[in-house]
Amino acid sequence: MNTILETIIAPGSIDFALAIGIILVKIAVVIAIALLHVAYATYFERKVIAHMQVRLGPREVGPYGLFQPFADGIKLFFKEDIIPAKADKPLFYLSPVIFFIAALTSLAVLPFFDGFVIADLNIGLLFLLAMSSLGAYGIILSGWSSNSKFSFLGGLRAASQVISYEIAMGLSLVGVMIMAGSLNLSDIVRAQHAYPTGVFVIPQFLGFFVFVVAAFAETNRLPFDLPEAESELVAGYFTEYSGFRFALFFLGEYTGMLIMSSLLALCFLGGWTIPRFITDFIPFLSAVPGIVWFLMKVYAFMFFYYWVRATLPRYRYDQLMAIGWKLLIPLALINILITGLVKAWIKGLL
Amino acid sequence: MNIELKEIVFLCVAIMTILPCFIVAFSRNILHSAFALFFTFLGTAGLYFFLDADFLAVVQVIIYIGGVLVLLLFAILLTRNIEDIKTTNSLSIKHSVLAGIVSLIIIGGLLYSYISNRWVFPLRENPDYPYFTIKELGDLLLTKYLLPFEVVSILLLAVLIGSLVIANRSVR
Amino acid sequence: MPEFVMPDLAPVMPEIVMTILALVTLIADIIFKRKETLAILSIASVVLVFFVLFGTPFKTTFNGMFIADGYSLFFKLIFLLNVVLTVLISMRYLVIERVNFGEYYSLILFATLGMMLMASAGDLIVLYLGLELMALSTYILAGFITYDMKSNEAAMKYFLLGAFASAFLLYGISMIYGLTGTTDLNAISEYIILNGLTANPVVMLSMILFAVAFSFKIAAVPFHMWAPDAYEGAPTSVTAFMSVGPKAAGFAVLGRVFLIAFGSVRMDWSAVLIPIAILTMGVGNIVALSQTNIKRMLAYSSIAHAGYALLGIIAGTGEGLASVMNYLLIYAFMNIGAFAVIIMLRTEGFKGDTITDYEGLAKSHPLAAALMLVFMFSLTGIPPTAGFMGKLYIFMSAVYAGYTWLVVVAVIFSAISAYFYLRIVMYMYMREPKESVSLAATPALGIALAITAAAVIIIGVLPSAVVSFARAAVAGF
Repeated sequence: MNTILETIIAPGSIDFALAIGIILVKIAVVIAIALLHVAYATYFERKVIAHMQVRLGPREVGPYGLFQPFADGIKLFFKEDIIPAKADKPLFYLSPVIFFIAALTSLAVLPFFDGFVIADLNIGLLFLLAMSSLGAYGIILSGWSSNSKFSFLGGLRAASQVISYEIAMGLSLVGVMIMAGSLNLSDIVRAQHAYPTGVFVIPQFLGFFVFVVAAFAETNRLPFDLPEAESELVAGYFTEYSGFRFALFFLGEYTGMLIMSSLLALCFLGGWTIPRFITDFIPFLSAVPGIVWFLMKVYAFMFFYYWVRATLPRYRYDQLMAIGWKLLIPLALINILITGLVKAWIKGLL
Repeated sequence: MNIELKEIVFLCVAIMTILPCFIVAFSRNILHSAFALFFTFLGTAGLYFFLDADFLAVVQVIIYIGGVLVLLLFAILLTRNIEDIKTTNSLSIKHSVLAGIVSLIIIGGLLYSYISNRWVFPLRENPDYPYFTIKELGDLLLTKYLLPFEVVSILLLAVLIGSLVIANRSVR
Repeated sequence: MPEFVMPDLAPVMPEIVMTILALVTLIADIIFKRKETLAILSIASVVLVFFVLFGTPFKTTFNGMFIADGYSLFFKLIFLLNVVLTVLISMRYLVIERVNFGEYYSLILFATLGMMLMASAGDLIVLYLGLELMALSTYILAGFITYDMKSNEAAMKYFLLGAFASAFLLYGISMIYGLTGTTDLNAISEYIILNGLTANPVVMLSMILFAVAFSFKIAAVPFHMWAPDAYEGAPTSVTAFMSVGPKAAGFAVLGRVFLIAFGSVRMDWSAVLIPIAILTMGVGNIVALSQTNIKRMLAYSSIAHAGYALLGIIAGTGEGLASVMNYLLIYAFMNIGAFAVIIMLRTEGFKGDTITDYEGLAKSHPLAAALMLVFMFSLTGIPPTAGFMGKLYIFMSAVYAGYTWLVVVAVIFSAISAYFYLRIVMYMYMREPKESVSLAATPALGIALAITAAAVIIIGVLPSAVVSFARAAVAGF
């Protein structure tokens, strides 16, 4: 009846029920691992920033504070779920869920290593962009439904920021799409492996720059964390949230960071592969499983997130918009133009 | 079993598309109306998936949910005193009846024309049937549909200029 | 996988040149501080396009999506003429309205590009895109005086109802595409004939939806509601522009779609168009009687004229089409001429758009009054002006096609229309001036008036040249 669903649900001729079973297991594994990573990403962040500020960070719960994320989780789970009296209840309930689900759904198309992907969509890259635009709703609606000035301002800021930077981010990836000739993330990684430099970050340095800046803005991280700027808006759009709903926003934000890092690793840094000239030089590296390379790249960028947070002050709102519209979008367009022309030249069309 | 599951999925998607339409039309809170559109658009994207139009489905999400609806919500949120407006849905009985009759006629006409005709669609029995549309779309846009593709770019430019004319002048 | 083949660009040359020049005008806006330069630039570009147009081979290109033929050539001439005259009358006017901005000219050029694409469209997709390009640019132009509530209202109403019409058009296109599997006009016609679908309900429904959409564009009753408000509120120069260009473009696609794609169901669409035409003439002429604002009156007059022109389409013959084209060309001259006089009355602090403002104009400004007299006579259809000739050819073609009773109706409404056109003449010549009216005459406006008045009289006396040109243009249709 339907090919796309068939290819997602039942690749090859495996029994249908079995296929469903496999996919459910895959989903469970990916979500469990992703959430574990998210939990430790918070620990990692606190440690990294603490050391950058000459502190020690969490160290009370477990050895070196390693169980801190669980303690946080249990605390948030058992906290009272406070709902403001004049909040718009249905939307107030719904918005953290939308935010979190949008982030989790994106995990479906990420290939963590060769062949391990829940849905090997042909348009995986577009799907990711679509899901990241869904997340904006959680923010806008939480801002509005909380019935609080701070939340409202945070929501509006987040929405305008996310749509502005989504354009830049989408355009910055077009160069990668042109070079790889595909929107399938696995194909993009394979195209990079076949490419002389092994990674697209070298020919696509402009796109890479735009993507990195846009990734910070998309995930509302410093220096672009205006939607939750604590010095002016308390906590921005989730000011009024508490307990587990707050935790959903928190998890959603870190899942978003994980996804952006993975996307960067997949599109610009070669995903689970390492450049061929390195394996030619040091052959035993090719025996290392792909997931290791992938996670190394992801965590390197996560570390960069924290590093920037600890280093840069927050931008002003008009500066943020100016960077997005007047710098990043033109740069991304120039990148597309150059990439397209070079590709046409290589193919002998010019 | 195979077909049953898909039909269940399809039914869910269809319900997700249609039910929020009633909220859009009948909710007294304009923000709820706008937000209900979110599910309608999402459901439409799902229906496109069922029609084997994967690219269209994702673009529907990116453009309608990521762009159009956000702007709509923006317009509502930035409008002052929008909650005081209570007359949004005060259709008189006469109007409702008329609108209902017109809708019924349209539905009837569409159903009749659907049933009474042989529709030419690129059927799946066709060996050239595109299972993944994005490559075919790309090729067609630069070969058969080159002129519309170029005209769209001019159209978007004109719209951009136009919106700047309106927005920029009213600020001054 | 289809290979990329460079299409034959020669037939599209006018559009390409137009696009480039519109972009040049846009960039020149940043460079030149004096916006009159842009006006001259846009006139020069239109003249250039004019010359390119006559060097264009009559061919079909882009897989049949673009048709360059005599029919499109004639319509493109109307559009180019429309631009020249509009720009000439708007130079001083924009300064008076304090909206002398460069985007005005590039938007006019973009709108004209859209019209040119519509006239040449051999495919419903190109047709729709051309229509949107024209319409969206015109919406902005209608709301160009952003500080004026009336102008905003005009743009808003025009936009909402125009978008509504676009939805109808898309609905029609999607139905005919679903049925025939193609958007090519010739292929649709072939499919309908080959498969014997001439009585098919979907074809009928789609045809009706097309008729509704195009009726919106040409402001035919009952889809005319936007026209009076949009015409009254929009800047007068834009009113002149949109009363001629989009209307002519609407007729161009109406002719092409109905005579080619729906050629086999001619009886059915004429049954739809005849009541529309009668209503259009009736409502347009009768409601115009009670108007006190001259722009509003001309809006109703423009509605009525669409009704007359529909007669030529209903006739469904080459002769009918030629007479419509001839009529639209004449209408461009006389209508923009009338608007040029109206614009002349608009000075700093004086609107000059109510009918009583024309009282005693003949005493204070005899030349302006005389010109207005010519245009009003022409709009009424009194010989020896061009308006008479235009109507004559349309009515003749309708009579030959067997619609004598329809022509009788049209003549009756035409007689009614004499009342409100000649009322202005009466005010100008038989009343005493109440207050002194000064004119904002400029050389550019003078040129526009000279062109239009001369054309109205010359075509009125010697109509055969234009008519035979129109007939030759239709010959290759």
